[in-house]
Order: sequence, then C-alpha cells, then structure tokens
Amino acid sequence: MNQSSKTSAQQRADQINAFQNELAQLAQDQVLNLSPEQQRAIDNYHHRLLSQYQRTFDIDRSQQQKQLSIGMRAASFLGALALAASVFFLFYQFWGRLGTSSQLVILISASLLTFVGTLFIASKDSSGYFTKLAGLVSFACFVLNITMLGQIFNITPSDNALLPWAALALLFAYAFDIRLLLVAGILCIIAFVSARMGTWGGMYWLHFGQRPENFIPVALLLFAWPQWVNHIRFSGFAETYRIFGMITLFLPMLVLANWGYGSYLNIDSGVIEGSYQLAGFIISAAAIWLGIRKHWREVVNTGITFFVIFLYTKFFDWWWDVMPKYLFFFVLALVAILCLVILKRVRSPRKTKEVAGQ
Amino acid sequence: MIKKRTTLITGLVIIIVTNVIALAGVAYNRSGEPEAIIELAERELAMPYRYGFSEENSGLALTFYWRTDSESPYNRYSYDGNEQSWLNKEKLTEIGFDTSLPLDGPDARRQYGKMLPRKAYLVMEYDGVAHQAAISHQQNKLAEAQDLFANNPGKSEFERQLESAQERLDAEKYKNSRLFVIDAGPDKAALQARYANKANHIIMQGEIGLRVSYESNKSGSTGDTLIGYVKGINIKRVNIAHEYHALFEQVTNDGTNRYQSKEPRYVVKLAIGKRGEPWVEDVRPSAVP
Repeated sequence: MNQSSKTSAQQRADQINAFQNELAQLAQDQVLNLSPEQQRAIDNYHHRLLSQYQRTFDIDRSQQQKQLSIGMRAASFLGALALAASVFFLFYQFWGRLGTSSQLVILISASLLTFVGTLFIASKDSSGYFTKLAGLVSFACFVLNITMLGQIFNITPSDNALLPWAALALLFAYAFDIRLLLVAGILCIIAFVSARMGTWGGMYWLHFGQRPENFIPVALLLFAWPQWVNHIRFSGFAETYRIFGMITLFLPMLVLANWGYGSYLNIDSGVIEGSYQLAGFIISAAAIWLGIRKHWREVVNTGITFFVIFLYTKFFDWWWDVMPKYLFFFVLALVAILCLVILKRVRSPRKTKEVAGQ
Repeated sequence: MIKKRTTLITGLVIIIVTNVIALAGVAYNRSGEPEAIIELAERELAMPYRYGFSEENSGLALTFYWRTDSESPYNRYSYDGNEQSWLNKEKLTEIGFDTSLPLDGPDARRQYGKMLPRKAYLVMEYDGVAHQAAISHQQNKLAEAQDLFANNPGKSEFERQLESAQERLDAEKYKNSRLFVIDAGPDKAALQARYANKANHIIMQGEIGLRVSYESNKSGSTGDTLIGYVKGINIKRVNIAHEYHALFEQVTNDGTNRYQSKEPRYVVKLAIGKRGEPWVEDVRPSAVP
C-alpha cells in the first residue's frame, strides 16, 4: 500500500483506473461479472488507497485532473521564472539609490527570508506547485545576493560561487521533491566541475568552455550517480541525472566532431573530428542498447536523438554542397523511414514471442 | 524527503556561511595598508554607456580604460590584443606557458595557436614613461605632417594629414588613457618589489595570451617568434557607492561627454587591497587635466 514517491503513487492510481475501466468492459462484454460482495470489497479498497494517495501526494484521479495538472505545472514554471526575473530587476532598479550597508542588509535578508518563506509555504502546500515557485524565487535571491556582493565590493570573479548555489538548489530539490531546482543544482555542478577541470589543465577558469573535454568527467559522474545513490523516493530524479549526464557528454562530443581545434589533444584536427564522430555514433548506439536493457526510456530517447543528430551532421558534411537541396532532404526522409522500418522489425519478434508465450 | 528541521538548519548555514566567507574576503582585502593608492581621472575610469537593460540599472560602476603600448608604426593607440615585445619567450615561460616546442617544428603553429590565455599579475603604470613615449611619438608625427604640409602647399590631403596628426596629439595629451600595462608575471611579490612606487603603479590580476608572430619576406617565411599579448584585467569595473552618485548625476546632466571636454570631469582616488581588488576612497570634481 505505501508508495515512496508521487510518481509511483500516480502510477498506482493510473493502474487502478485502468483496472476499473477494463473490469467494466469485461462486464459489458459478458466475459466476467464479479459478485456484489467482491465488487464492494474492491471498490472500498481502491477508494481508501486513492484517498490516501490524494492526501499525501495530491495525485490526479481522473484524466481531466491530469490535464489540469499539466497546465498547473506549466503555470508554476513560468510564474517561478517570471517572479525570479522580477526580483532581479527590482533590485537592479533601486539598489544604486541605497547605501552600501542597506544594500547588504537587503541582499542577505532577502535570501534568508525567502528561504524561510519557502519552508513555511511547503508546510501548507500539498500540491507542491507553490513550493516550487517559492523555492525558485529563494534560489534567485541567493544568486542575486552573491552576485551583487561581488559587484558592490569589486570581488575577483570566481567559480567558487557555484558551489553554494548548487548546495541550496539541491537542498530545495531533495527537501521538497522539486525537479526544476534539481536541474538548477545540476547546472551549477556541471559548471563548477568543468571549470575546475580547466583550471587543473592550466587555463583561467572562465575559459573552460573553450575545451569541451572539460565537461566529460562531470557527464560520467552525473550518469552514474543514480546507480550509487537510490532515488526511488524522488519523482524523476534518476531520469534527470541520466538525461543531463548524456546531454553533457554528447554536446561536447558534437562540438568536437565539428571543431577538432578545441580539443586538448595536440594532433591533426581532422583526426580529432573523425574520432569524435565515430565515438558519437558508438556511444549513442551503446546508450540505446543500455536503455533498452535497463528499461530506461529517457536513455533510449536521448540516445536516439543524438544518434540522429550525429547522422544528419555527417550527411550535411557529405552532401549539402554537392546535392540539390530537394534531393538532400529527400535522402534524410528516406533514412528516417529506414530507421522506422528497422525499429519496427526489432520490435516485432518480441511481440511474436509475447503472444506465443500466452 | 529531508526532515524539516534539517532543511532549515542546512539552508541557513549555506546562506550565512557563504555571505560570511565573501565578506571576510572583502575585509581581508581592505585590511592594513592598501598596496597602492592612485588617483585616476575620467580618462582611465569612464562612466558606462547606458542602453537596453542597463538604462534601468540605478547602480554605477566605472570602467577601467587601460592600454598597452602598440609598437605598430601605424597605430600607436591600442588596447588589448596588441603584441608586446616585453612579453617575449622568457616572460611567457615564466608566466607558465609551455614554450619548449621548437618554432620550426611541424606542429608548432598548431600547438602554440591552441594555447589559451593564462592568469598573471599585470603591472599598470599611470602617467609615466609609457604615456610620455606615446605623446613624444605623436609630437614626432605632427612634426612630420607639418614638414609635408609646408613642402606641398595647396594640397588638401597634406592639410588633412596635418589636422589628423594634431587631433591625435591632442587626444594623447588630454583624452586617451594614461594607464599602460608595462609588465606581467606570476609572482605578485616580485613585481611589487620591482615596482615599489605605489602612487603610479598598480598590480592587478589579469590574463596573458600567446601568439606565433609570422615573419616573412618576399622570398618566404624567415622564422616565427613567440610573442605575448595582454588579454585583459579580471576586474573590469569599479563600483561607485551611493554617497558619490550626486557628482556623477551632475556630470551626466551637464550635457557633455568625455570626448568633448579637454579636461576630465572627475577624479577617483582608488585603493588596491591585498587581493588586488580595488575600492573607491574618494571622488571629486577635477580642476586639473
């Protein structure tokens, strides 16, 4: 009966709804009719379960509620971004009219008060949408706090600021199950680790983006993290880590597949580009295989996306200048259809085996 | 989920400790005697040009205008990016670049071309030898233009050249920045010992880049040399506290800009602290160019 996260509770609720719909269909088709006692027992059990899930996780009990939830999520996200931007520009507009002491008091108080405010809202908000909004505003206030301190006192820019930002974002994420702030924390970690990799390589930290290989270690760390730390109680966290791990790995590879000059390696750029193109195909194919094996849908989808991007990039290199444009896009379409056919054939034997197994 | 009490304590610790560390760094930078105190005019610390979002920014930060001496005969006014002969191979090695690969090797241009700028301490000289050299150069150019004009009466192109030469000399005397980067190194203490005059030398963190300078003549390449350039300083702007804003509002409202007036409109007394971070000690209207 106990579910560990909103996602698993929602899955259970969807399962119950599907079961009820199928049971009604079976009764209508004269295949199965439960006795009144059995029907009553099942209904009471499901009603207790769904009520408990709604109280604890604020799940959607109907399709209409689901659609409204999607709308609320979008509104919450946009509202959070807009409010954070508003806070930033509000300070921007008025800070020059205040003395240094007042600026400091306002900056630090804003961070502390919005943080405490988020905790208070979280204690009252079962849906989580208002908590997400408040959490993002609090995070924005903290980022503003440290950034403005740097401007007021002319502090030398440092990547160290990324660490406390990551810490606060991750605290909100894990305390209130907010994926948006998990993403904010992950982005800060990506920037910090990559900047450190660059510094250890001898460059000034602000140039870390000019060596895309700086991102590869943190990409592997993010992808592996859910394997080391169980995230079953947090909705979508493991998937988020894996997606960002893959994006952080594939984007630099894509850049280096087209700009070998940016590599740390002191060899011919053409060789570097060819190697990263080949690696891109192999690793994205391996990701698809791994995702299918482990039932990680997000890994499969991300792997397919980047495989296609690498493939289309290669086609562009080979044919864009030599083919008429209509023919180029026609070839792309044919390749997409070929992929469909292959995936359908890969899927079909499994389907045949499942039916045979019955 | 994390317990509420743990969340509260952890969050408060993150926010408070981060602010304490940042402010402690500021206090350390400003502790004791400043490493340098220098008065820079509008030519060296210019007001921002407001556009877009910046028009709504009520804060004020002055931008450092610094220069490097250009050794090009065509352009004596240069900022970052111009190669400096004092940033030679020995200096670049001292800063931390790997200069061991022979320049005539097949991979030399690629390897050196890929090297990214490195952190270094930059020595900036204010109204010193470098600026006087820049003025002397423009005076020589003016003299040449005057000779050409005298020897080619009635030719408008020489008259225009003379006017340009005079404008460049005036700019050098009254408008161009007098802050020149004259040296760099990895060791701040060594630079401080070498440039002990705190009144017209300041040392700040910056970046040095490296290039291969291609030497060639009509018959082909005669040899490449490694040469460095000043990429920039890390602190590009200095915040002005609210107490000094009134003077700058007056300057903004008088309808002129810094290019129209021979005299700077304000002077800023700048202190440089232990971490090389500057702060403003005073701002006053300027009565002296």
